[in-house]
Amino acid sequence: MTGVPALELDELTRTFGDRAVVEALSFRVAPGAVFGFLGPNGAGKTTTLRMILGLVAPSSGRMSVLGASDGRRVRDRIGFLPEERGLHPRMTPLQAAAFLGGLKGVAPAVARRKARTMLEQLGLGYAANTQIRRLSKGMAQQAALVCTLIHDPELIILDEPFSGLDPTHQQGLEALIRERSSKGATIVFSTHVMSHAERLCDQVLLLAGGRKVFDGTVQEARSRAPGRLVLEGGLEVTDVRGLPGVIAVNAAGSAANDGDLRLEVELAPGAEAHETLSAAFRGGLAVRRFESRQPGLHEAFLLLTGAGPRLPEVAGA
Amino acid sequence: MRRLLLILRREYLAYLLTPGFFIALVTLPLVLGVTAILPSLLSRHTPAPRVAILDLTGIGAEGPGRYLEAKIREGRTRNLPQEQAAVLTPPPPGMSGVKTPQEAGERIQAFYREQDPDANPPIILVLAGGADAVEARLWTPRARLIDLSGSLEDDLSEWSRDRRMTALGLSEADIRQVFEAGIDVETYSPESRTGRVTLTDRLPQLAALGVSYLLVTLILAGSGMILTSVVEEKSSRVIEVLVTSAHPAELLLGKVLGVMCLFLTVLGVLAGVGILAAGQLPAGLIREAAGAIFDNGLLGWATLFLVFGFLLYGSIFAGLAAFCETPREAQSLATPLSLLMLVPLILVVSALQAPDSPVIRAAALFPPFTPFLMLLRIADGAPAWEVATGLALMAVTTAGAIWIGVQAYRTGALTQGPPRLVAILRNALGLRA
Repeated sequence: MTGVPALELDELTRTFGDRAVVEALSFRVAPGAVFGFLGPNGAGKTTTLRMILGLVAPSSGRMSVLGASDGRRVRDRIGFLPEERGLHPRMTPLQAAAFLGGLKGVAPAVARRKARTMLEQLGLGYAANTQIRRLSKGMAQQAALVCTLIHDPELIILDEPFSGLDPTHQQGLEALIRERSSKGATIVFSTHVMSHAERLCDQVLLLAGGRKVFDGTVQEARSRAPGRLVLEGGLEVTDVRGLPGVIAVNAAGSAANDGDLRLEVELAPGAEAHETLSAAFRGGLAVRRFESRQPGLHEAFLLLTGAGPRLPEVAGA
Repeated sequence: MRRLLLILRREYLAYLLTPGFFIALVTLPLVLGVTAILPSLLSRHTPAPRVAILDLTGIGAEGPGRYLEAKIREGRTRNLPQEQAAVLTPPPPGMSGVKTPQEAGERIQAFYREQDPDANPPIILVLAGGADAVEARLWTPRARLIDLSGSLEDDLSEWSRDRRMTALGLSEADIRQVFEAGIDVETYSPESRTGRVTLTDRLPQLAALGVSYLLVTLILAGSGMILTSVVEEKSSRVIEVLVTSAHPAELLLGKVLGVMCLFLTVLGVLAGVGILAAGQLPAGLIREAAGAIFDNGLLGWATLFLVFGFLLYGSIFAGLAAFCETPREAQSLATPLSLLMLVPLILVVSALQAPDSPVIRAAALFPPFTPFLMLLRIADGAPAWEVATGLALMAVTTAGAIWIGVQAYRTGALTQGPPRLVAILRNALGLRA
């Protein structure tokens, strides 16, 4: 990664009493990147975001946010969407945009005009003058997003932005993130839904128990997880175990033909499924069906956070 | 400053542009007016006490019974306002042949037992004894009715004195002269505009008392509104967005000043109406009372103390509210502070009797009480050094309260649970955990 990063954390730690919620966390986010901040509940994602925003002081470590020592010094260049809707319930989306935009230096008339356009893009134009307390959770979340983006922030921080949205609105939000990214904004969002990160992120960081367990691209994360191959036929488990790249063989349900076995073969990280399969054919294994399963970010997440369920391993026959 | 003004504007308009505000603005003078005339209205619609007199003295036409009957019939009963003047009624049946007050008492009790208490049964005065030692017992159906004993006692004493002076040989004209021979004491003071002290001289003090009460009410009400507003923002997570958009000091001061401007608007409207009304009033005590409020700079001082009071109490209330998720939590946290604000209400009553007593002078210099008590000291002509000291102490304390309020607001906005002084101070001093 080259150039001045939009965001850089160096050994950032936050403790509450004796408990370290975030521990020696370091990472860099390039300008214009879409950065996924992943981790299970309680991993320290929100605390890290709050430290970046300058709402919580770190116990130790340093950071650079758009070149400043924390988010408070560059608050007009940051847009923050909290997990909850975060708007005055009695305001309308247009009023909220004018007020919050005003706090960020946008003229009220400009803010209202931009908010109207964005709401229409999101299919919420009809609700522009409806009090937020009368909107559904998903609609209020969309209105809050409009307010977050009203001042065209350089750094957009979204805390669990997809929670509470239906699939249509999730798709709309993904499109908005891509659009902002294409215009040069740096986007940091936290989530524990891997599919969004998988589709959107240039870089992901996995946090578990306050510690970084992975930092890299989605592809790199996937490569940390084992690939899987499902084989079915008149197979011997010991033969399958002997194939190159295989680290475990598990039962995968019943086979189509009586007397056959259906096995899920776990491959070593980095091992290519087609090489294992070629070796099986070369070795004369009676493979009647096969299926290659590429590891997703979800598998990588489970593996890296140590939360992955294990399938029952087949006893050697 | 831009953000502070924006927040101030939002808070101000959030309350101003509601139907409730306009309803309150119209009803407030009505409520004040009704409160002023309510006692008179109530007494006017309270049934006049009915009095029956049972004279067992045997003195006859010159006796106390007849004397009192004449007084009551002619509405000359002493010490009773016109609207409460008693109505004479004959003794209840069953009283004939009664000889002693004890016997009368037994029959009266039996009579009362048969009566519906809501039917306004009569009060019965039983007179017994001889001409030189009249014994009077007043029976009343309910112990909490208006007590006429003092009034009847005065009239009976007058009858007794009159009788004794007649026995001493004084003529009716002499007796009248004796009764009219009272001496009035007039009070004079160099502080009085006319030299002679009248109610007009006390009007500034009374006006200051009224305005002090108004200030306590407004600041208490305004602080409650600030409290509710912050709790709403905390519970709806709006506060998280706000603290990333503006400095906590801007947020807190904008909120406090916004509500303060709302109350200044109310005061401005009321003052405007008051000035217009005062101009239309005929010369007299009411006009002078209005003058005491609108002249002498009282409104200017009241505005200054309103500003300080709002900043002082509003900041603390806002800081406390930032730790609360529900109005109930906030109310329980703020109750001690609300009770503190009630202390000046008790002190202003004493201040009216002795505005320059050491306790009042000291209390007026105690910053939390200064906004409410210094007005009375100023109306009493407090020396300039005392007013300046009070203002300086209040300004320093208010600045401290704002600082503490901001730190508490900043800490409370992002934490759960009750306020912890250590956390607030650590946050305030920028110390790392």
